[in-house]
Amino acid sequence: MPLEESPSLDKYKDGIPEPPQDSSQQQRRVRVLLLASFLVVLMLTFANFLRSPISGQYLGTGTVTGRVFTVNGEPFHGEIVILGVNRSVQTADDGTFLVERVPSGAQSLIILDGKGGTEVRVEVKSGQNQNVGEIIFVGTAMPNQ
Amino acid sequence: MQLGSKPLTSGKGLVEYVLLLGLAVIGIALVLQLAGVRVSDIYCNIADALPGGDSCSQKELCADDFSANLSGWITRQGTAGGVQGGKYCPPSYSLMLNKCSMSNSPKDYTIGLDGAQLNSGNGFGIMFRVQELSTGLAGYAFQYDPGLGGFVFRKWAHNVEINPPLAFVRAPGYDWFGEPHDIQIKVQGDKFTAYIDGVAVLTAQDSSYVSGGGGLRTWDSTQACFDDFEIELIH
Repeated sequence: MPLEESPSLDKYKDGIPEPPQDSSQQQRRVRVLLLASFLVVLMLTFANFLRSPISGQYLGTGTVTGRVFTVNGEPFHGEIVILGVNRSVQTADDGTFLVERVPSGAQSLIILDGKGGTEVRVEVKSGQNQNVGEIIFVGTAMPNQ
Repeated sequence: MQLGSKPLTSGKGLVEYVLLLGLAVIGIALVLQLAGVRVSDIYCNIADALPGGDSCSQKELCADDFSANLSGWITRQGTAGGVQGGKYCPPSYSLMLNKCSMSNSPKDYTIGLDGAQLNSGNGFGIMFRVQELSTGLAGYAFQYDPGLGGFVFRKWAHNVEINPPLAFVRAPGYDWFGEPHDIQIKVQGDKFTAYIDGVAVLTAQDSSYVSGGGGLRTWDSTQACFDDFEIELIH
């Protein structure tokens, strides 16, 4: 160290000054904070993904079963569709249905008779069957043509 | 401390602080998204509040004042009818789609129908976020519906309307016939709000369809005329 950069005695008139903060310790603190922030962002991203409509495609599939009747109490014959997903089946003679490989999460099940449809919301869980029970099909009034 | 190590350490520290700041910004944006608040909305609110800030104001996407013909429309159900004296008076059964909005397939917008007058029949509908899929028409409709005695938001799928309605409100004593009304539907995210003459009458929420065009529909011997059709993008 050159002589001119040497500390003068004035610096020590109030005692020995505090040693400067260890920069490596400070750096370590920043890095821990950085890592913690990264983990929080990662968790938030995952939470957002879980809420997104596409999450179901990656979180497994389940099946949906049920039975549909007309308003007169007869077995309903028509199509069962999972909205937004390429899944559809025809009801059996007794009105029962089974839709396989339905992405997990909240799904919209639509019952169609060609003139109108009835919607049932269903929560599908991966690897499980969701029985929606008995549904009464109520088609909407079609306009007079 | 060794000579020459100080600048290197400071630089590294700066990068770390910038990364921290970046992660904090991303974190805030993700929290807002989880809470259902759109960052673009916040940006637009601020931009609109600034002097000369019009970057986020509504922009007209499609419009038809029905001064000429119906070349800007596609008939999907029934017949088209015709334009009379600057108004479109559809036949009693029709479903018409607006070509401009169908080709643009916008997401968030306000769809407006000015001077909409129902003279008789069971009502008319304004279609929005309509898509023509291989399985048929899909989208939503707002119904001005004296036949049901109220206002209705409905979902469409596989070419048919779906029951139960997304939202329905009875309007007892409402004067349905013979008066022109300005109808607006604000379609933003998964929320839809219908206004009649500037008054909110019904709201609904659904996330099945995120984009699509607009259209008009009549049924059950409806006699109605419409003055102006317009779609303005939101943000």
